[in-house]
Amino acid sequence: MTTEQRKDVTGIAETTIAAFNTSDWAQFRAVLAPDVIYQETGTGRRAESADAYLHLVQAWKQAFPNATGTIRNVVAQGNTVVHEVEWIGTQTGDMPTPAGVLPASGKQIAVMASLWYTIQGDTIKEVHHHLDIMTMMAQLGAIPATG
Amino acid sequence: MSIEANKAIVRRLYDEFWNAEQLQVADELFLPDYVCGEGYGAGAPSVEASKEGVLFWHRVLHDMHFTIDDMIAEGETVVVRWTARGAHQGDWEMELGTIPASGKATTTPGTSSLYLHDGKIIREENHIDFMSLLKQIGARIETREAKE
Repeated sequence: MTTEQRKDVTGIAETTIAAFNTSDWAQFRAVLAPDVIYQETGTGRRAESADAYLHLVQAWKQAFPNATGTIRNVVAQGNTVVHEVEWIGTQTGDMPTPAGVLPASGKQIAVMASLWYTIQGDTIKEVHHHLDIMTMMAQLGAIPATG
Repeated sequence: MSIEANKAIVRRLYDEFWNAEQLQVADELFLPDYVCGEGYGAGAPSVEASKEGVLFWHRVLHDMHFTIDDMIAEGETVVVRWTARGAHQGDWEMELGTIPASGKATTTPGTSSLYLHDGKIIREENHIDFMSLLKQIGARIETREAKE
């Protein structure tokens, strides 16, 4: 992969983080393939279209309106890009969880995640979001903390 | 070391160390000051702790086996997306309590970022879907405030 090709594929992936941070949903959607597959481990949620993916992402923003992601590391090879991201935000909205809806807690979270993007042309074809939901729930006071 | 050589080291980590329980290969795979972090309550801060982790998980999840779903590398970093499978045939003691063996088959997705130096692993960060694993073995996640 040339430096220019790397810049292209990582740039497409980074657009989603930047757009999420500013709630620029038009920009977010612009880099998604219409039939993008999104899989979120931890919550088990899955989307199979750009609209469905956007809906899930917007739900996160409703629960954590000030949420931002900071990319801590990027690895790219071929048409795959992996971001290690730290998500930070305050839960001022209700949050759907596998155990039910968690009412707004006012608590702050800071959790690490990795996102695996498959890029095809100028758009994202597939995303696997590996999210540490147990740490997040402990930080929200929903389950006991460990360690 | 080349990217392919680093990938080969990481494949050995899963094939030999984790899947085949060949703990003696640790010296060939890890630097002595290796550290590992994996989120909620399950960090393995050293090589010795990782060895204990292999024995622990093979006891809890019988015939535990990692399958590498995807692997890419750049520089001295290798990232892996994997699936771990095994039957829950051993009690799982954790800080939240003990989950008795359920006998259920489990499939757990996760990712690992492995940082290498001179052909050995110096640091590892894991993101493991423990929530999914707990649900599969019938553990009830009691939330303090959640409402159905």
